[in-house]
Amino acid sequence: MIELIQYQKQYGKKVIYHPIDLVIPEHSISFLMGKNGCGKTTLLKCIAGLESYRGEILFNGKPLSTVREECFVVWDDSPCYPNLTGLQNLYVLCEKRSSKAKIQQVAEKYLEYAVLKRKVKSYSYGQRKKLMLALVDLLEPTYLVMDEISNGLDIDMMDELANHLMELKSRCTILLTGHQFSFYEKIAEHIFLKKSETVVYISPEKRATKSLEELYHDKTIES
Amino acid sequence: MIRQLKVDFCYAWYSKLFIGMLSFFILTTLLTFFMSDQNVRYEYNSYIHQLEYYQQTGADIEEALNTEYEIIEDNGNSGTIKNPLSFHYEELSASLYSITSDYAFSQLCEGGLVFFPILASFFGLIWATADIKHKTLRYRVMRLGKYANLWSRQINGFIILLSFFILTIPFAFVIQSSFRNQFLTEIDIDVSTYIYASKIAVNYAKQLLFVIAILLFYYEFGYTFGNLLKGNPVSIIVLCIYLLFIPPFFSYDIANIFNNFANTIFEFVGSFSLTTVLDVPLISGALVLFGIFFAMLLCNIMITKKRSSYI
Repeated sequence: MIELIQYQKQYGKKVIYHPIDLVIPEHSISFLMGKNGCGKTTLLKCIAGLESYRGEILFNGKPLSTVREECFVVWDDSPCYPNLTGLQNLYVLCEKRSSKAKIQQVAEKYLEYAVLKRKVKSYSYGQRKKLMLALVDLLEPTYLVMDEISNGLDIDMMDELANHLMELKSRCTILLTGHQFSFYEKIAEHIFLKKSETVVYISPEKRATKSLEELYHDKTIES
Repeated sequence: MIRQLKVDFCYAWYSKLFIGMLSFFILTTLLTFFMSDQNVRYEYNSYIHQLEYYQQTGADIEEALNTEYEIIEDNGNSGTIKNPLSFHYEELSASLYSITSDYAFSQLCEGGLVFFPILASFFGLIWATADIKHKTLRYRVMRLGKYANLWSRQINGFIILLSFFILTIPFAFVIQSSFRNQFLTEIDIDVSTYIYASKIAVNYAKQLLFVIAILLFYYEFGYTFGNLLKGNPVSIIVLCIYLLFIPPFFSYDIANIFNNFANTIFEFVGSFSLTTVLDVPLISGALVLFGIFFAMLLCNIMITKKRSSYI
């Protein structure tokens, strides 16, 4: 699990998160929703250790410094080396943890070989996302965070991704953010709503009565 | 650490950065030895011209060659040479020595004094900004940590840069040998009669250390610039102006300090020479270089500490 203890974040005087305590359970899929610009990606940046914050973020009781190789974040814009091919990107980003044969075998589940041999700068948004999904399979993280993963994926890929995440959760702690509620509704077990400067956990009872979209617009949910 | 080095080598290879930089190193080496070849031809022609003049005037050639020459400076920019035959004989001897295989490594390093600051700085700048430009810094920092990423990136980049130089060395010998053979084929000259007495004892270890110091210093210089300005084109423009157009203008200028060290290590009998060197005590010069180097390291640490890694 990922545990936030008295986590708070601000940029200058602007408070993004008041001190909050949050637990993202292990072996399950959690979904964080909120308006654009409310701070969802900020939370992910802090979980990934890319920005400073106050409080603690622990991974099964351990700090990030001890579990770095077990963590991975799939970002919305899927950064890659544009002047390298898809396969070359995987060779580099995979940190030499897998053989070239295995990398190619895994990558071909997501993209055709002809596409993998092309430079990433020619890839579409969705193709870059698929490349990142291949990287997830290769790195096998224990803590997986995905920022707006459903964006840019075709319907077949979204179904495959949903099934894949359901398989992954047995060995992973997964946190997702996004806006396509129809996708996350099917797979997320724990729902968090970013409201004002805090995060509200939507209880299973409340969730049973309303859809994600209704919960998102529900003004009665207290921050 | 070793794994990260392999990853960085992998990136350098696939991105053609490795081949590109190595090509530049070899190209500058080719230029160095081409200039050396042109220098020896020029000295040969100058000597022959003087010899023919002495023959025409019936002057005693043997006496002239056995007598020392003297350079009388008029106003610092020009002067006259007493016994020019002896002068040109020595210049020719020196230039013939510079095209021997004994001098190949030294000539490469002397050329490096001109070219390596530019190559190392630009490589440092490109290396520092690749992950910033492509936003892949996020992965590296997450998987390694901010400071581990900083150190591994810097160290690995320098190792790769050093490998360019090491790979260039055999090319230097081959290129020099080609030019020398071509020269000796075209010009009928008994090289063994032109004896040059070295004024500085050749110390290859010192020369190697000097080149490593130049590469390291300017690599860090370019890296710091790139890191500070995030690869903004301004950083490239500023680097170009400093390295290519601004001469050393005070004694503790970086280039001038390196030139002072170079004067004690190299003879400069080939195609390169140091024209304006302002004297600097070597110890204080070394301290200044160390100070600037550590200031650059500190700058990179502060940038890493303060700046978000989410680019």
